[in-house]
Amino acid sequence: MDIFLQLLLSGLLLGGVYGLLSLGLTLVFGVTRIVNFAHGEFVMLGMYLTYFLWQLGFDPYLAAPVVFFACFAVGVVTQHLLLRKTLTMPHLVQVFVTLGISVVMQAGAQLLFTSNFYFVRPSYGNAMVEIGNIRLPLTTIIAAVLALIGTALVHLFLKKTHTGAAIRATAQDPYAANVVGIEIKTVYAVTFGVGIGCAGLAGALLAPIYPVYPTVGLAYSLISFVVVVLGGLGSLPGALIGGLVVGLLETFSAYYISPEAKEATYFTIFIIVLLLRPAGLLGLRGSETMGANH
Amino acid sequence: MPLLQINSIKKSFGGLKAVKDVSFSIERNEIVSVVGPNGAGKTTLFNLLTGFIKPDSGEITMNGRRIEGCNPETVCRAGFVRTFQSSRVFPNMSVLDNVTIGALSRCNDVASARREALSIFDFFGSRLHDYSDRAAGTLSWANRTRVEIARALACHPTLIGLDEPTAGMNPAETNEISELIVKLRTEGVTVLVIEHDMSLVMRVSDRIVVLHHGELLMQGTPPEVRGNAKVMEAYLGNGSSSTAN
Repeated sequence: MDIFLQLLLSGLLLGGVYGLLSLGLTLVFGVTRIVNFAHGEFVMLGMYLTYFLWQLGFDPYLAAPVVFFACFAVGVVTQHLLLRKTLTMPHLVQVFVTLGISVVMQAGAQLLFTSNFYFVRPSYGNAMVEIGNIRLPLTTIIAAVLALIGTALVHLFLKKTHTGAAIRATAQDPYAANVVGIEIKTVYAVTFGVGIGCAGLAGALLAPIYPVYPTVGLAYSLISFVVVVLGGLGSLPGALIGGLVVGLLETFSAYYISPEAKEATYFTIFIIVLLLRPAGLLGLRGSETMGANH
Repeated sequence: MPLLQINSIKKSFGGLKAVKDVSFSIERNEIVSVVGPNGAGKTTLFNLLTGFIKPDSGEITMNGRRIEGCNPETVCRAGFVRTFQSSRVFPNMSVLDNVTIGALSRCNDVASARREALSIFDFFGSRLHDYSDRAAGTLSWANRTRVEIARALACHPTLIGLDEPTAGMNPAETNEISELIVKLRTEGVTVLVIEHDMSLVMRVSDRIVVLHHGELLMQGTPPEVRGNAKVMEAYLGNGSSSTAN
């Protein structure tokens, strides 16, 4: 029973971070209809930024907000320079642009930082929190709490602010938003910025738990795609639910089957869910072809 | 100076001349309708006026300011807001949120935009107040059109453009929308209606502009248009006047 509870809590904590990671991907898709294949590379960027800030003497979790805003800026600039012109082009063009970004970022990281693994190890990095017979790493708990705070802040931003309202309106109907004075170009740039900011923030939270290396993003791209499609493309609550589901599957299968089997397990469940509910858990029916309008 | 002045506007798509050298103007506080059979170029003209497509040549002046080739958000800021034929509300947002989005174009924060939206509701009697929290996508067609008009009004336009506002409505709903159009003028808003349905146009318009094959066939008051042989021919085809008897 203790083992079960231990796995359940670990899975939920990990899932919270996956939720934040995937929120960025689903938000970008829901608003701009761009499927960002470089999403994991921006997680990698967030992890490296955290590593270097930690080397400069910052606590990795205090560095996290800095990483968010740095990645936000990178996202806005990337959208402005590379993706803005592709918005009216066929989806395939955007696929290749984002794939290109991911290749360049991986190769760039290899060139600049070598293929070595880097570790972010704050002094409390090995501390464990004991609740009864359950022991959880402190870093995982902090990561999950901060991920949930980040997720809540993004929701508040979308719900309560002027720009957030413009983003939600554009997601539902860009033409209608445009005629009531909303600048679509700005909305797309800010949305991409927030999406990349979420990826970077997730990277900052993962850096004290997992090593950093140039191709680390691939794993996170895969996870966030599974989470987003599982939860329902473009659905924000779906990202959190999907994240928790994948976090739990990963933790339980790693223990009960084998650590190597965790990807096989969540992909199996993923295929079953798609067979039964093609639009994902919280996706509107039919949204598998056009994306949910949240 | 007219509110909206259109000077020899032209637009082709490949070999198809959709709008050929059209000029007319709209005075303040007028209700002007643009009519024409299918394929006359009404929708293209409307998209040209509201910044969705750019003209090949010609001028559009709103309040003395050139707006041809501007993007839709700039046209909105110049005071010209349109609705869509297929009633494009934000389907998963509440009616109040829909109208709030319109008000955001003039308000700095969401709270004041929301108050502004509620005051716009009064214009529609109890119609929108009753559905304030409902998702706009679940409303009847007529109420969706009201939401769209309310959202446009929330931008405080001087000119509102309605694209086939009664498409798909029954006669009772059509009547209510035509009363609404007349009421818009009493609020000081100039109205441009693009319509296929002649009966609505005859009832509400001060002036009617008739397009045919992308050209301006004629313009005049409803009785003038009704009695015009060329208009009859454009709508019913050649020789119709003899077979109609």
